[in-house]
Amino acid sequence: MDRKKIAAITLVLVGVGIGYTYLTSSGTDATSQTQVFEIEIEDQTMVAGEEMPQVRKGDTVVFHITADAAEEFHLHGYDRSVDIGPDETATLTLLADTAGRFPAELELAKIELLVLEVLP
Amino acid sequence: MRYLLFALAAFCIPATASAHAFGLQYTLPLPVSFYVTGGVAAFLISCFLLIFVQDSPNSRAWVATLTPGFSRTLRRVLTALFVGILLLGLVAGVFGHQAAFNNILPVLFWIGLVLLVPYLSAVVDGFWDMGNPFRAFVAWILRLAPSSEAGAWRFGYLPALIGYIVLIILELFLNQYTTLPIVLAGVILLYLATLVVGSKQYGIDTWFWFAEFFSLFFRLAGKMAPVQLRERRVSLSLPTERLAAKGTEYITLVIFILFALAATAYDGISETALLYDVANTMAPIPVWAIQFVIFTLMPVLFFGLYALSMRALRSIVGGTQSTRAYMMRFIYSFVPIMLAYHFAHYFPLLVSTGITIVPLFADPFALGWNLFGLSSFDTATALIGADTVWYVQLASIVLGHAFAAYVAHHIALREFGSVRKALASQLPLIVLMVFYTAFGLWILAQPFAPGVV
Repeated sequence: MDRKKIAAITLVLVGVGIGYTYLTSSGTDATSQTQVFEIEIEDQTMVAGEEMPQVRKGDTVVFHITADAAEEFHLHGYDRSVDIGPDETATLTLLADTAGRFPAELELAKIELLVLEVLP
Repeated sequence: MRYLLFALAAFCIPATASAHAFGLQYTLPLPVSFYVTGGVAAFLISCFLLIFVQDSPNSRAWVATLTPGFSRTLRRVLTALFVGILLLGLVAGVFGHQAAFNNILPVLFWIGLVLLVPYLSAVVDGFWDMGNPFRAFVAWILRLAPSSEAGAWRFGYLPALIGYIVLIILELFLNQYTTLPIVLAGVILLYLATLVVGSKQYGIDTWFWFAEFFSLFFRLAGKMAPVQLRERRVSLSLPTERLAAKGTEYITLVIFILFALAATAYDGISETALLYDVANTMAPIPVWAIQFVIFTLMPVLFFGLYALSMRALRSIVGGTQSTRAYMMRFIYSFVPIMLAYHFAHYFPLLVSTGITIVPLFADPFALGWNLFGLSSFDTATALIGADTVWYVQLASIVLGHAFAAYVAHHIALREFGSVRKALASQLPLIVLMVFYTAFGLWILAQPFAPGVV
């Protein structure tokens, strides 16, 4: 094998090594937390609460939801739901074990309320 | 005429029908580290191939002969399966629940046909040709109403290109309608009608080769497949030979491939914060109008860049052929990039929405059935993390680039004889391919616009 080919192979291997190191060192090493989000819905609109709550993978996410009418709060992706209504505050708790962006909506009215971002 | 009928159909949609929540993806933008790594990897791999690969590819293939009986049975089974799926989808589309996420037709069409079949074709080429339900339907109609002598074909791949453009417009700009089952069923029936008319006029073989865009797209994907399934033969070989052996005779196929590439790139950029920021600076022009302008300019840009690179190639090698001829010779080297772009962009959708076929199959008409006990299948079990998706996207685009560069290099070796001339000719192509690769990764790294999922 001539020198040019050896140089080329070395170049590629070094590049792959650097790339792998760069990719795998990019994340943080944060400990899991419990993140609580308060949501208030009036007339099928979210009047209080974050539109794009962000958590880390491994966090426990708790939604406390109050609404002025009976509905269903549905988080896509995780496919978790809770009935909400004027009588009491509903709670949806889940372990954010999969990274991504997950919309939550009023299931009956098909109205999107927020997008939960789970960062790796 | 078909657009008028479609528009009329769109206005007849019941108010309760909804395309909401169909096609949700749960991805996150690609981190900068992935984007940079991908771009650098593409560049290094290109350099490696230029230095290391100086021989023609190994074109040996392992071939097995299929008995006539087995081949006939395989064709009948595939045809029956695909025709059955088509009929199930159409009946569900017309008579089933009219919410997209409660009806099997949108998933069968937008996920099964538009995404899954080309990816499977890139593994096993020829299975779609064997069981093509559209062709089976047209052949049945033509038996009932035979045509006289077929007309001469003068259009290259133009009808397929137009059909594909229409599909992309339906997908990207009218999806609030085309994910509605009854509208989608109507579109498919209209398309079948055009296939019948075209086949009657020009012959079924000619029409399905040049004008039926699904067959064309799957055939292009199939050029990448290591396994080829043909009448009475199955073979296993590296796909390099099929991509490098010869180019195309039609400039319309060049446009088709570049349009497919540009359309995927546009889809990636269409819902980014960047595009919305640009659109907001042009208010009161609506966002969709800005998007449509970019949609029409993107293929022009891709075509222009490719033409420029071929012009530069011609100058470097002192070629005797025209730039157009070189464009047609090298275009198949972009098929891997086209498919890699497509897969990287739509893989999350394939998984997140494709999995819903399981409970939908258990109750295709939303009548409360529970076939095979699959109604209660938990689709969340197929949830793939965004971090996993990043690695798949990065690998897809970089490997697609690597293979494209490999094919282009072999085409150059065949065309220009000497290794030195072939290496020199590759410079403009490598620059273009690295640009396409980096651009694809850059799109994936863009943050979404607020409110977009």
